[in-house]
Amino acid sequence: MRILVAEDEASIREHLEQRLTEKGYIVDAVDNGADALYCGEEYAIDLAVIDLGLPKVDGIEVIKTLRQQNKKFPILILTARSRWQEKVEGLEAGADDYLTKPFHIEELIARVNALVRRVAGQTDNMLTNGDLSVDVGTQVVKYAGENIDLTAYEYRLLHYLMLNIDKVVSKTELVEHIYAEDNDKDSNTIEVFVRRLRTKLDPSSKHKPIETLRGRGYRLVKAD
Amino acid sequence: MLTVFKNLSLRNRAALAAALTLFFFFSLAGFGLLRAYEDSLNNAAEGELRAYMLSLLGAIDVDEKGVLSLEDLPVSAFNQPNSGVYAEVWQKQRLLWRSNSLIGQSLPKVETRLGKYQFYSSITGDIPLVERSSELSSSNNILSLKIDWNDGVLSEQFDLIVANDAEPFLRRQEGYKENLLLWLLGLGLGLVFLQILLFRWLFRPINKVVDELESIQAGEQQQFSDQYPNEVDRLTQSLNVFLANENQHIKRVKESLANLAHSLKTPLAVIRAELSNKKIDQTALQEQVDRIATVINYQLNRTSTSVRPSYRQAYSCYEQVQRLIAVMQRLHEPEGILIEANIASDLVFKGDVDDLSEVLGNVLENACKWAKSRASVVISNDGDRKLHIKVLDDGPGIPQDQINEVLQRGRRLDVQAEGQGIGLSMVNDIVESYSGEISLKESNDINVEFPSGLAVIINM
Repeated sequence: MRILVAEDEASIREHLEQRLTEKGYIVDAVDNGADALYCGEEYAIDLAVIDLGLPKVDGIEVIKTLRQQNKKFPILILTARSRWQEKVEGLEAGADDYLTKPFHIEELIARVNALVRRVAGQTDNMLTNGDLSVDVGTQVVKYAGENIDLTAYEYRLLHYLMLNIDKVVSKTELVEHIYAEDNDKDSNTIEVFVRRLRTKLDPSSKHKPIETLRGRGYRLVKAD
Repeated sequence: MLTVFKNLSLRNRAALAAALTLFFFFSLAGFGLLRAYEDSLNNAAEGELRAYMLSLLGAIDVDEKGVLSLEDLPVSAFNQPNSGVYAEVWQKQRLLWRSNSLIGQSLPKVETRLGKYQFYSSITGDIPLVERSSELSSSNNILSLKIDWNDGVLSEQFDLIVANDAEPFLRRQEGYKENLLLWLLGLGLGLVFLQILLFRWLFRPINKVVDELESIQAGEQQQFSDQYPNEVDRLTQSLNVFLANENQHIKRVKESLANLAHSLKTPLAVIRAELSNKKIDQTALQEQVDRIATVINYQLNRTSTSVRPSYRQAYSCYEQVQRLIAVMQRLHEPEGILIEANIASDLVFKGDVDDLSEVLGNVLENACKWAKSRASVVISNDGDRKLHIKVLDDGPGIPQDQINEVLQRGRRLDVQAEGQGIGLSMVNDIVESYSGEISLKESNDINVEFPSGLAVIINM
């Protein structure tokens, strides 16, 4: 999952970037509104965390512009202004949730997770599909009650597929959503990650939870 | 000079305006009265002269040779020297007859018209003379008449001139003028004096306002007294509201600062102590930082609610309330919460709309956090004096013994509800500043559908 973090205060931005990365998200962090607009327009962003008091282009303007361009990803606004009138203005611009500064990073991550789940139509931190479960909060993955050890990329890949159960996800889409922008993006490595994931989730190759659709991509099959 | 007028007090301005008005009024009235009196004097003089003229006409006789004679004059004054009644009869430029009262003197020659009386008054000005001769030294009123004499014997035109002494008339006029002036002057001065007294009485409340304002500035009194006429009372009552708000604002800011200082110093002391330990307890530090953040947030909000104009303007706030509810619905829809709203379309709020948003936002947010699936908000006006907000939810409700605690700063009943626990305290502060009421409804107070709720009444 790719998250845009637009925050001009360096220490907060870096902290958010670090903690969200630890939680398995790909983070594009920018320090002004113009860069936030560029990222929102050009990258396959799944969620944005936008501070309202951004330099160059105001946070409200960034949100309005993105919504005018039909960008539908959820937006969480950060604001130091705690009056309801100001919150209403931000939410009316197109944001989906707000968080007032100062905030606990855990609360921000919880809100981010909630927004991600909301997009996927889930209601809690536990993403499940039959015997397979992913706890977004703790990043614990279980299959038939057994803990499965995954690398960061494998987790990101599974997380994204779990949010898109029964949907065909192309290699390009996966690359955009699990790789950071400055990484070397080789779509062939996706095949490697998918193969490893299949082996870890289904060592006996009996259930085949991830299907390959030739020339189209992959699909996490919905369990009965 | 202009500066003098600019700096004139209201009382002096009113007095000056009244004095000028009275001056113009009495000048015009005096002029009119004098003219009317002069006219009446002239009429009297002309009437007297016409009587003389008629007696003169009656006495004129012409013999067979055409010689004019005046015999048996009924007015004896014509025969007494310097009697003050005079007459002359002229035929063209030739004097035919002159009364004995005009010994050694003559009447001024004035214009005559055939068959028409010409009256010349010395009361109202100089007499237009045709010819000036050794006329009478005193002022005279003159009446002239040209007659066409045709009795079969003589056919000729004669100029008849009669005059009387104008001095008695002039003396009466002068006497009247003096009397009139004295009366008008006395009346004018009396009225000006009365006006000054009236203005002193009228402006007494204004002077009292100024005096009381000085006393308030000197700290000798807190508010304006309530003994004022209606018109000024509205001003002083508004000023009293303004002063009360100012005092309340200062009190709140002072309180906020004192509370802020007190609330910050304790956690800072804990942090300082913790930092001096060899092994720093991160959890303890985090706890104190959270405490500081909560205090700052609460006190900043509390102070900002106290910053509002003293004069409360009425706002139509239906649209604003609907916007807030729509946003709240969007926020809580993913949690499966439905907000039912019943808002009066003519909703008016007499105060800071930001305060209304704050009250409604926090109360509704609280209801949505506790609700299972439904929340209801009803807002209505009680005339233009009260605003009623009732927010209900189908959550568990809050026990009576915890009601007061909920409305206090930073108190949270259950960690399941998000937020920093200051929302309802903020509501409490705002409602208090409007002298309103806030109450948590008990479970069985409302209905089965919405067992829990909060009622807010804001006085406007």
